Amino acid sequence: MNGASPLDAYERVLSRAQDLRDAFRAGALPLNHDVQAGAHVVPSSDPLSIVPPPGAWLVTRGADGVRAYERDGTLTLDDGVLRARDGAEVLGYPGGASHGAIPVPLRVPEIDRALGRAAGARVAEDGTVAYERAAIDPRTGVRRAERVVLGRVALARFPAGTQPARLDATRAAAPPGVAPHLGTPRDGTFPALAAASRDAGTIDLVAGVARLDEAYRAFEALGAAVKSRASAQKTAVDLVK
Amino acid sequence: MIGGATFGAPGPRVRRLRFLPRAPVSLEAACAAANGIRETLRELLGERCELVIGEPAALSPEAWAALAHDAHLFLTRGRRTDVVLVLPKADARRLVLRAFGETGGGSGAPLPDAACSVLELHALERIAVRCSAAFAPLAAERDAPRRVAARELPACAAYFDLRVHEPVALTLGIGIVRDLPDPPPAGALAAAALDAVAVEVRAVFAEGTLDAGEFVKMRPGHVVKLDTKVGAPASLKLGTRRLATGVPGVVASSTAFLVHDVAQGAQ
Repeated sequence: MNGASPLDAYERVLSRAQDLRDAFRAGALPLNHDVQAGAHVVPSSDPLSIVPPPGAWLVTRGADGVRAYERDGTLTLDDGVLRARDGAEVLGYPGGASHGAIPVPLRVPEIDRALGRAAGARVAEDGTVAYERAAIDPRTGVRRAERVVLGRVALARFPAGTQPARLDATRAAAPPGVAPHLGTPRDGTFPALAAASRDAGTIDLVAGVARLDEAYRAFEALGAAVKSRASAQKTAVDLVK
Repeated sequence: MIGGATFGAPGPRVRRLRFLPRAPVSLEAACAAANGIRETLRELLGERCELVIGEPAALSPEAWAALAHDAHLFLTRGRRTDVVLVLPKADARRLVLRAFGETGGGSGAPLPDAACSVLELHALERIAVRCSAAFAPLAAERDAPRRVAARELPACAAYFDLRVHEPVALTLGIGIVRDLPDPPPAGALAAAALDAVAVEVRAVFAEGTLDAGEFVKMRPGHVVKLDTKVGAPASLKLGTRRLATGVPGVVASSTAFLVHDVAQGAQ
């Protein structure tokens, strides 16, 4: 048994079960890497829903101001700010280019936010977040669509061989001392993201079930061993009596 | 009053349809005011001014509070409605710097200070006074504008923005405090569309009155004396309305009417 306790085995069962519970969660980070698979990209009717390219992460900033990295691209424009599903601000580059720029939250201009003009916002494959609003020439009364660009979402990639530290089911942090490479989709270092798409899950369901089954068996075996040892001890005590 | 419908923010599920209240300001009035402001800015800045306007929108109190926040407000009281010129503080500073001929007013250029000095505020008030002349289509008779705080104003009922592209990129807002009266219905059908409609006309060469008894006794061979003098012009009539005066006659085998004068609304 070498130090393995029923409690450890039970926790392994729980972690395997948790991975299975997150099987259909977009951008889920499994507790056990051996069940992680590539993103299962499916079309979405939500123009703000994206899937980052493989190996790339969205850069977010939580309410506590801490930067995190996520792969769940179910974005919303909440209160005029581009946000991830958990409410964190999604960072990007209002100027479009990432070179020499610090990623900041992408915000709808105050007037358009107040008038609800950004309801049709969408994210393009190059990460551009934009919407259209009406522009009327007062001389002719001719109405045309004017495109308003909020910026491009930032993407991050960690150096080969480093693994981001899991914060929760969808968020990760950079490993200590590691600075991720930042850029934008289709900037030459990152490929295009999947626009109007969603991640239907990154966990290998078959492998997850198999590992959960193994964990259950190990737990049962440990339980049986413990029970057997307890029985032998009781027998020995009875003999001494 | 419902002015349109739109869909709510995108989401993973069905987007909710919501109705939009109609903006109580006509596009024509908004365009007229915008054209006036464009000319005013052209005169003030001494350069060509290009701008477009946003769709006039009805405002909720919350939306007005967001628009008035962090902006200079200039209220012009008018007979039909009160008009508020909304100058976001960053844009106001950009405008006044440009008016002073300073070059730091580009849209992307950093501004030296977010707050306007007393002199700059005075210049802004002068600009607002000049711009208020353009509010005639909205406010009708009006007073001179004055700078007010947001708390001194009731929530505006409608709003449209003027997006100035040249010579300096900035946005001005126009808030309408009270609903404007509905504009008269616009002509939806050109008069020429009725050109092909056939109408029945009558040529009347003489008119007179007849006693009822004489009418009852009328038989073939009777002569009825009319009031019209011999040689008086005949009338071409549509219903009871006289279209023209002229002379009755004959063309080939049909009766005809030679028009001398076309009536201008006379019966």
